[in-house]
Amino acid sequence: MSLLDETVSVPRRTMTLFFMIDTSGSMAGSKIGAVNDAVVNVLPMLDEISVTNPDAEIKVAALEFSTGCNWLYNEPKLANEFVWQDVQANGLTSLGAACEELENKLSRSKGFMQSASGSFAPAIILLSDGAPTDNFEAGLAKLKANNWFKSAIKVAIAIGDDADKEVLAKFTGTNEAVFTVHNIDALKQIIRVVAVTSSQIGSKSSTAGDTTKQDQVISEVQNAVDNIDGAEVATKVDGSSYADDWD
Amino acid sequence: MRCFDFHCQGESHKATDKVCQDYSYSHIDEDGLAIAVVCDGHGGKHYFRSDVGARFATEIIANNVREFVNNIDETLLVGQPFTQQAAIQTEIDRQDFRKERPVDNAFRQLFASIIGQWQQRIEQHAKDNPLTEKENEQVEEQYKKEFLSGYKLEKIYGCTLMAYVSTPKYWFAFHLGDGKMISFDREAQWKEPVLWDDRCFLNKTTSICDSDALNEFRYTYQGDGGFPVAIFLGSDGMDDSFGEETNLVNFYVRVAKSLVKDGFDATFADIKETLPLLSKRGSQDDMSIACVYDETKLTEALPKFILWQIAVTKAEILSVNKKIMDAKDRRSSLELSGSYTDKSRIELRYAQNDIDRGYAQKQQLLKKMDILLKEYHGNAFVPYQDEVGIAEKERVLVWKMEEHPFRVHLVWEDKK
Repeated sequence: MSLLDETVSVPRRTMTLFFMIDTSGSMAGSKIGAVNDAVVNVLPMLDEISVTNPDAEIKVAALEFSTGCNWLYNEPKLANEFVWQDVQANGLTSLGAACEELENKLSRSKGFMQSASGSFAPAIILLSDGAPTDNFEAGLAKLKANNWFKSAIKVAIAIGDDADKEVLAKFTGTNEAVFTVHNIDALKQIIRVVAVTSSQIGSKSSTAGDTTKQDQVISEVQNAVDNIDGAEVATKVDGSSYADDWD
Repeated sequence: MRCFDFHCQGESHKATDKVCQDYSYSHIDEDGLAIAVVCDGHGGKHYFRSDVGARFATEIIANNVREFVNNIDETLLVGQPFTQQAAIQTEIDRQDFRKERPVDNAFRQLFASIIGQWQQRIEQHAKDNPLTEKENEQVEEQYKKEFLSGYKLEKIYGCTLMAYVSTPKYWFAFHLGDGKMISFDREAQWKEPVLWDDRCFLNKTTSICDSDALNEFRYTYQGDGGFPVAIFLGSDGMDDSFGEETNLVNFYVRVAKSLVKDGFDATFADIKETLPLLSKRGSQDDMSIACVYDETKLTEALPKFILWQIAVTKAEILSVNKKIMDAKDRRSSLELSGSYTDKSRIELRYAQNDIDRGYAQKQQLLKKMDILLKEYHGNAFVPYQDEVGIAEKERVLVWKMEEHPFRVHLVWEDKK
């Protein structure tokens, strides 16, 4: 007789995927439209990963930041239940405030996280087309002290040449995890690739040896970027191969 | 006193043809010395002989604690109250130093001896056992080079460790790394006897292979007559399977009840059957468990273990009830607001989902509660009921009149 009877609970392990989306005024028009479109389309893919993955279920949370910041929902939702509400662009770029807000929620007592036992490190995808207009360094310093953030998979998408890639590299901890896109199609494709890859790798028990999950994600996304017209690794030393085209 | 231990290969290790890297041990000597040990070899390609490292650590701990108990001046421990000591590294971080007594020196010598002997043993093993054909094929070049040069051998064999030791006069326990140790007293109150180390978080852990491993041991001792009724040591594969700590404790309570009601042999057979299943359903990791318990006291405490489960289940039911009621309030205010924006429609859907999910959870919890109530009260038990119920009643829209201030409006109410 198994000891796992009706009096014993064995919950599924969880991984939370965070989207941090710049909704400042400069994102207005085709950029924010592409973000909305891409996230709506990627959610069913995340659900499929969650449903077919024996290791963990995937939850999604989204934080938009412009003048201040705002969670789309006050708790992470299962990928199949997450209903995307189109975000609108206007205002400034309060990335520092967004970092502080993310730090608030990357905790068990007052935030979105559960017990570390039974959880996988979160994956965080930051999208921005500009530079912070608030005290980014102070916000990031608080976030960097957070254990969940330290363990997280962190990837940033720089939307166009005006995005401050140095800031994004500080957020991810490495400029290799920053990917630049120069047109609408590339933006849509990179959101899908990064979200799917982070979820697949982040929600797995076994990892490829000592390679961190972040390194695995970077490696896979870098390979994918080679086949996306208008996307490139931000570290490219010989300058960008593309010109911005957001019309 | 009785004891058992078991370790098995995890589901993900089966899938990748990796050996079980956990090791466990338990024994009760004729003089009443009880020992339980669990060691968990690290995963990852760098640690390709961690299964051997975990086995060596287990054997060395068992030998060293026997020697420690035989040679220590008993007066250092007899009469001592329950005392927990954090890792020295934690004390340094907090600038709060508490290890000033001779007993602390004795423990430090024990831990230094364990580390020293483990290092000698793995060095000898590396000399005697060159890379196997499989290792040559699978291990990355950089780690093979490290192995062949003898550089950082301890990484290749690295593991975590935890141990519980009791004599008729005192007990002590120590822990280096992750995994969880849970003890129960005769009131069925549980605790983690050894302090946690915050550096163990998600897949990061302190380890015997760390350069300052000696400063990472945490330990606890007691010699004033208080002993755990039962103590369970489990590798992180166990606690990762249960998420919230209460779920892990509840599983150990289930095991403790089985030991009393079904007996040792049947329970141990169930453990051997259950842990592979648990790995499959839970963490996918290797699983190990070791337990020491006092049969007589555990039998006396059995009703309290059931009461603890009833209390925990009741708290879970109340929590689910609150979620259901909150979701119903949200739904009512959205329905009556007359707002039909996209956002309000989405929120309404979430509220309904939360209500449905809440009732589904409630039904599971009530099933569990009735099993426990029957176990405690026998067949005369009264099934648990409350005003929130187990399913949503059909709702109807009714006119409601308020007199002060006078207002008539439509509200949803449960159908009578």
